Amino acid sequence: MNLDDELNRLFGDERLDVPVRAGAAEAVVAGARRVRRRRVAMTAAGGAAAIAVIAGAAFVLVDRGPAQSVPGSDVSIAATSDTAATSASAPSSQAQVSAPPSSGTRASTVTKRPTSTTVSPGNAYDGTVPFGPSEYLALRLGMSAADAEATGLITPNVQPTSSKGCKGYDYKGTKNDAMHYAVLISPTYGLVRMANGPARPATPEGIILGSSEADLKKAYPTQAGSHGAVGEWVVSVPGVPANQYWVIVRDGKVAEMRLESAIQDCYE
Amino acid sequence: MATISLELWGPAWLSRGVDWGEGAVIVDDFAEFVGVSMPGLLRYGHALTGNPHDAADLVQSVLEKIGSRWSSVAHKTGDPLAYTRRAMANAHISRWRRTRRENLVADIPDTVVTRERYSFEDEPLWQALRDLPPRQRAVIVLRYYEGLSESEIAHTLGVSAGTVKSQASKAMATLRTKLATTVEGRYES
Repeated sequence: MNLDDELNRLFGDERLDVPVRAGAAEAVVAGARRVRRRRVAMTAAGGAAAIAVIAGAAFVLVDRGPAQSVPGSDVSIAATSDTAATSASAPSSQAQVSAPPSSGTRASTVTKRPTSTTVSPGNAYDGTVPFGPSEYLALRLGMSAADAEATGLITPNVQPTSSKGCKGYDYKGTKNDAMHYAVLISPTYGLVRMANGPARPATPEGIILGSSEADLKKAYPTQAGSHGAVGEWVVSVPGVPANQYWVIVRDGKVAEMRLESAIQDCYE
Repeated sequence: MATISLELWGPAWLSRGVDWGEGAVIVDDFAEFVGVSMPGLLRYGHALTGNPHDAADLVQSVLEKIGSRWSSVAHKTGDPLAYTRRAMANAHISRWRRTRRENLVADIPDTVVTRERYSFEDEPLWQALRDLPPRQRAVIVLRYYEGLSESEIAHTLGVSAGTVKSQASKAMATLRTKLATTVEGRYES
């Protein structure tokens, strides 16, 4: 077998062609305008994320990752407001880790969760842990890499440093592909994004994995930005505008949840 | 190689008098660039991603980003097409999630027609290639589709030449093993 020849043959095969759809160029040009508008809006809003955009056009282009677009321009609250919320809620989230939560502990920590009358029947919330406003398990937005590693919950991703110089992690026991980061930590802003991981998340507003899209949009009616992902709904965390939920809806149900800092420099 | 006409088209693009200012002419020229480069980019995306749907998604998202800063891309890189292709290779590797957006750029037939058209899918080498991790796959595509050297691949992907070498040799070993076990004799010649 001559693999070189076979590869050349394969890559020359006409069946590799993909027919272009009518109007494709127009669609792309319109999309480019949209991306540009978002970037301009974000730059106008200030925020250090703009620096990343200016600093590296090449990185912006090559780092597709979650980096599809930029946070919305209406997110203009300083990151510092995060600190207060974080320190206030940190102790309870620490407790969540050492003792797996029952619905009792949840009720005490998830203060804004709707009362049982609005919760769907059954035990959908049993075994869930608070996701936000700033923390998940012992992890919290803004914490340093050292502190986050010390929780023992995360382990470096196969590709431990992202193209933007942030540290990327998997949840322990859940190995992801290279650069598919469950947790991202910026040298400047600390922990800026965490995905739902080993424990089922419940937001203070009562949204869990499997919640309906209607419930999600009732709980969070206003989009705060966009990352360009399919089925995404990016919203400010109520009461903590420095934080956002980045929720992915598939087939009408919440499929993935992320808690992120509105201002960060790890992705667009 | 099938892409050669597009490569030749690059210099012609540069020789035209283009107003690099912030005017409508930029958008028009970007539209033209998209129109001309799209077939080649979709094909290249198909090789990179392993299926036409992801190819369309990749081409669309990378072109949108490039178009959003078209004047600086065209200005600084000198070769927007090569730049776009490299951006695609990197984007393909770094995608953390392969969710698909609504496809706006490729006309991919569904169901029966698809099966017929993409009977290509059944090629053992194509299947083996698709199963490679994204980075190894990108190395192979850059090497055999783009015809890049080891050091050019290293530069494109922002990794060391040693990494390229090891990824390439892993990939080739995997391909050989898979082909040997799945289609014994098929590639003997």
